Amino acid sequence: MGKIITNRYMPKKNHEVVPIGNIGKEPLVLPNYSGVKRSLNEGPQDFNVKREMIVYDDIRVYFGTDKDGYIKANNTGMTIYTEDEMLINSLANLDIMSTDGTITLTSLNMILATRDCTFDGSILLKNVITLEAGDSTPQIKYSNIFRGPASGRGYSITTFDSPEQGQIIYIRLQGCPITFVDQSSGSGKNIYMSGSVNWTFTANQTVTFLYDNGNWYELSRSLN
Amino acid sequence: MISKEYFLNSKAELKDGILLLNKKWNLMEVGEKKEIKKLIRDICKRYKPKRVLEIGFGLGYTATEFQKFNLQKHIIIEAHPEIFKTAMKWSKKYKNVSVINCFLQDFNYDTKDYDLIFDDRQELVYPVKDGVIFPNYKLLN
Repeated sequence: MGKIITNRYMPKKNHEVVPIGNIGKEPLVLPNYSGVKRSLNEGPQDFNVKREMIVYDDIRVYFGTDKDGYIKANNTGMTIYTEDEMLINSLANLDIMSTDGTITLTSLNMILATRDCTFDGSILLKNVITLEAGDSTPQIKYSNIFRGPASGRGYSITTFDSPEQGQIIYIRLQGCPITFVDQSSGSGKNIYMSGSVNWTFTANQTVTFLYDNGNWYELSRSLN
Repeated sequence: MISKEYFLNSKAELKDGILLLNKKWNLMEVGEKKEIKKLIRDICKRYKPKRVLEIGFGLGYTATEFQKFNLQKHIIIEAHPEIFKTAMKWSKKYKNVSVINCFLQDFNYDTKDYDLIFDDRQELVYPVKDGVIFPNYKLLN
């Protein structure tokens, strides 16, 4: 068992160091000693916590320059939780690996990759959103695959709200017919349809658009 | 779907040939005129309805076409207050027609009172059963 060394910046006031003799029986509590830098196990031994450790201030783990860092939970799950921002910072590659399971990134807002993404495996886009009947400028934020309304009165779409540069959207029509309006027609905005002609799509037909430089360009259509 | 309050307080505007609510929600288009008038003509010539319940006034193309067929009773339901005003103004030029400002869901009627229900609403407030497409019509009696 490692020993606690409190040989730096000792505070003037007395303070209590929780004995670690109870490890395995009670939680080990390391109080916040203002101005005290404490090092656990500066010797060669491991520092083991067999039950629970509570730290009221920050915890910093420095690994030797010749050793890889390693935090492990044996035979159970591990949760790292914060109520504010969390940063995992690597000056080299950062690997998140699951050898036998799924890696899930969950966010109530957006998961953003600021640089290139390369996938050695397949990509499956599962979020299919149904457009609102009558909405001439539907919201297409955060998705790529859409279906038209299953019911309602036929209507026109003149543009799409909240696009991202380079976004490609796929739309499959259901029961409600939708006319996509080319930018050249009177009510047109920024959609470039094939042949510069408005087109009404009906059930089971599909159309694909690319958003680039402020405009939507039809990539393909399938009149199924 | 939008809320009833949003719908009732939205501004109806005919812009570039499209009747829009709050510049976003598409109700009807000028480009539909020829096609929808032909539909009404075909229905009236074939079935000769005399008592018609029409749901949704829109740009008034269907209502104007119905009036060419000497209806005994022509009731139009229009939920949007601004379009209702337009419909009221339109109705003064025609006979046997009444315009009612309410949602269809709030309108009590007896199907025995009509020969035809022509439903041409753009339903934005209440859910519509999958597969129900407007305009559609129902023959009665």
